[in-house]
Amino acid sequence: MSAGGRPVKEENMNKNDESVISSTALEQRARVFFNESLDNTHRHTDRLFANLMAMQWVAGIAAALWISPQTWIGTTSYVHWHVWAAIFLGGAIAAFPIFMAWKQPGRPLTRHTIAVAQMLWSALLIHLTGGRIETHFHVFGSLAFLAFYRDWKVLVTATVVVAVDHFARGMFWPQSVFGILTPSPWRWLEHAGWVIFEDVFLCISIRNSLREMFDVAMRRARLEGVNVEIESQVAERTAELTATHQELKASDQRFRLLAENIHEVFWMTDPVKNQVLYVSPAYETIWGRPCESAYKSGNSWREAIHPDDRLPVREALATKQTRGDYEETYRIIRPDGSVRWIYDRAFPVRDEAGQVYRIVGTAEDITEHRRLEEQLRQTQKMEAIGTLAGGIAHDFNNILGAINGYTELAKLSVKDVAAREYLDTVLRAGNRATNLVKQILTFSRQKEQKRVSIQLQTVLEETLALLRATLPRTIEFRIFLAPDASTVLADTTQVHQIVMNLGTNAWQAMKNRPGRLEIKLKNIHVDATMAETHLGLRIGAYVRLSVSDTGHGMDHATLERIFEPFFTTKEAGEGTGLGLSVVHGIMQSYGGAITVYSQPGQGTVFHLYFPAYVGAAPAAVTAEASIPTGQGQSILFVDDEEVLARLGKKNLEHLGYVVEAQTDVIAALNFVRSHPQQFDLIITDQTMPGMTGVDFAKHLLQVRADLLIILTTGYAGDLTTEQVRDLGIRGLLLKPHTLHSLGTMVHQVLAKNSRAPFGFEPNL
Amino acid sequence: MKITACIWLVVILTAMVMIANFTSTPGLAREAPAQWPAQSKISLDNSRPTLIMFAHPHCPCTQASVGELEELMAYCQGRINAHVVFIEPSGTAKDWVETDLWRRASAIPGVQIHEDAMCVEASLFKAETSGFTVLYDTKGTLQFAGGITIARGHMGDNPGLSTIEKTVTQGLPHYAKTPVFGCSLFGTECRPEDAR
Repeated sequence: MSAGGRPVKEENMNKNDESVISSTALEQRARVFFNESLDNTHRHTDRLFANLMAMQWVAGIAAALWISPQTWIGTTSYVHWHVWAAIFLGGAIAAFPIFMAWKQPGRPLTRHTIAVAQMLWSALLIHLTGGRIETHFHVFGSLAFLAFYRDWKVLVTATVVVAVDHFARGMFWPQSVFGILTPSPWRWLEHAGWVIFEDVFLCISIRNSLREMFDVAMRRARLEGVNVEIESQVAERTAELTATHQELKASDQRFRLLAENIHEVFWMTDPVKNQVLYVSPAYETIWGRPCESAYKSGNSWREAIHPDDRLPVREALATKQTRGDYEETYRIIRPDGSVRWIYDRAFPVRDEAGQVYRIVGTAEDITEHRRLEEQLRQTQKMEAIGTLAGGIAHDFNNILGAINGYTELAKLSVKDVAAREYLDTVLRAGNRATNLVKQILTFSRQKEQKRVSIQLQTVLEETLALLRATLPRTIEFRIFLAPDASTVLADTTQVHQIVMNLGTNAWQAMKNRPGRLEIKLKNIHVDATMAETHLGLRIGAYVRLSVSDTGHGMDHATLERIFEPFFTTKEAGEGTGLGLSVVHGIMQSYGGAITVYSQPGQGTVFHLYFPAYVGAAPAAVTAEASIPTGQGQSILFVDDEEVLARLGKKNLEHLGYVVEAQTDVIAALNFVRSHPQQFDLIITDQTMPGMTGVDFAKHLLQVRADLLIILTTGYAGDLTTEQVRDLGIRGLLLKPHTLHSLGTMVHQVLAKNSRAPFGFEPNL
Repeated sequence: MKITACIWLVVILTAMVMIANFTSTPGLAREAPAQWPAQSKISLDNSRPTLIMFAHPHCPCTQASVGELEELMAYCQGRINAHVVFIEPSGTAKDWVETDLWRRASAIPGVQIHEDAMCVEASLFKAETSGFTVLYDTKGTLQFAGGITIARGHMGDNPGLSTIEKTVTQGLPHYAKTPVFGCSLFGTECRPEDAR
């Protein structure tokens, strides 16, 4: 407890110290005010006495002029000496104090000089009046006046002057001061005593005045202290207010930056008054209406809602907004007629009583988002169709491979001309079917292309020349091919196919009327915004091929389906419905994109984006030569389809190889294990029951690492050239393969006995 | 500045002393006739002392002398025959004489006022300075000659007045002479021949 007591004592001491310090400081401050006030009194009294001196001087002159203006010698008069005395002596007495009051007001010497001068005035007057007792009242009046200084020392000075004057003149010329010839030698003391008598009262008065002045100074000091404290508090509050104001301003600025730059609309409403309190500037951009219109009418924004969506929105507003689960998607119609999709959310703001008094929310323009969703959905649909079509085409390929292959073999065996013609007919039909499958595979991107680095403008010039020759003269051709268009990786045949397909479509859209077909090629840089809004595009350099026509255009429903295979608006027999599907598939396989813009009656424009190619060009494809033949090398041909296995065996034997055909992959593997050195080359299908071609190849390479293997497949799926090569497989051959493609691949693998060349062999 | 103040004080005091000296400096005085001059047109009173004061009508200092005479007459209560002679130099008009001082003197009970044309009377009594007062007893013997103020324009106790009062009231054979403070009665234009 003792430890607890000491701090209390120390605290009290500190408080006392503070109080003492505060009191001392207050007294010091009061002393300053007191001195200031006293100095002002001194200065003020100095000025009063300066005026009095001047007035006494003037009055003295006036009195002299009135009482004794002249002195006479017979009939001759002169200015009386009283006049000169009043002018010069009076002037001398008055001038110096006036000078002091003017130049050094407030100084002790000044007021003492004034006191001496005033008493000299009294002395002079008493002298001039012959010591009249009435004149002595000038002394008392002067003393009272001098008391204005509130300085008792001034009274002492004045009293001393009076006493000395009375003493001296009482001694040497008493009548001039006392009016009698023979006064008592102590009479000057009597006069001085009366003066001191007055001085006593004046000093008391001065002391009281000074005390009052000090009290006033103390009050002023206290008031100043209070003022300082108040000012300090005001400054503190002002600083706080300023800081708050700046914070509010900064907050407001942050909000404005947010609200004015974000694409969503921020809004706030009063649900009771149905009044819009705030909408951010994005409202004008999205709604196409000024913000003021929303402020003027709480229903303004609702009037823009698509008629089909109004009812659900109105119901949601009535029920969900105050509950806090309002989350609506609706369409609005802007003044220019365009339709935007809006995703609108609302949140209630409650007061302390829990009552909703504000609704705040955001409205987002999701038109583009929905378009991309639609685009994605369309793409996914196309992917699904492609997968389906690819699978069917694969089976068709096997069938067509057998038909075409055996037909070719039959042609080699048959000598009868008629029979050969029949077989040719079968081959032509088979080739048409093959072409159809080829298009399906192209659309489904399951056909490997021979993509090489090409200048699109060169290919286009050739293709457009052919197209121009094909189309009627009523179609105006406009071609703008940028000479500096970048190189792209593409298949020349496919580019040709793309242009022909789009050109033919354009012509058919302008059928029976004049029109214009415009083809543009130029470099374009896809930025982030464009990449976000165009599915399939990435940031980077592209070459854009635009094909536009002035045909009848398409409606929205048609646009949504034009890339679907077998979808066509043409008359029966005019198209297969695969043209745009193929174009779409080709562009997808290039890593590019295709977009279309069309309005009924406004024509159509297709934009095809080819990724610009900056790397080294792939090796040029050599011209197809005659089929190389073998020299009795031993080959194992494995395919689960017996027909194809036999066809492969026949073809290779025809080319001079010794071939063993096998339809059971397990049996084939066991055979190789027991006879690892028997075969120079093993050709295997990929899709087989029991084991895939890839797994079969892995087992084979385990048996014999340098074994040459070629993998064939009608549907590569996710299998890439690189993957196959990395497994140690020397070649990948797509079905249906021809005699030429098979022979060439086998020859190359056996001849080089190496990993190169490698790649898909076009086999259709 | 203190030195300046001291110098100033010294100058003032010196000037005041000079003024005091000047105030105390008497005017010119000559010996009055020991016996009443027979040529005087003013009659000597055989029953009581005769007092004559010579005055310059415009002398401001003589106001004090007249004032003292006023007190003297009040004090003596008819025991003195008093005359005030105002000089009337040649060439001066009547209103030159009849000034405030003349009217004040005229108002003193028992005092006779005279205009001294050509300053004849003043010459007879050897008066030179305004305020010069002579007192003769009933036999025409001079009892007092001089001023009845202590200084120029100063009223109050003074030896001249005291002497006259004692002479009149106590009848003491006494002759006294005091300085006179006032303007000069004669200029060059009116000084009588004998006075020159």
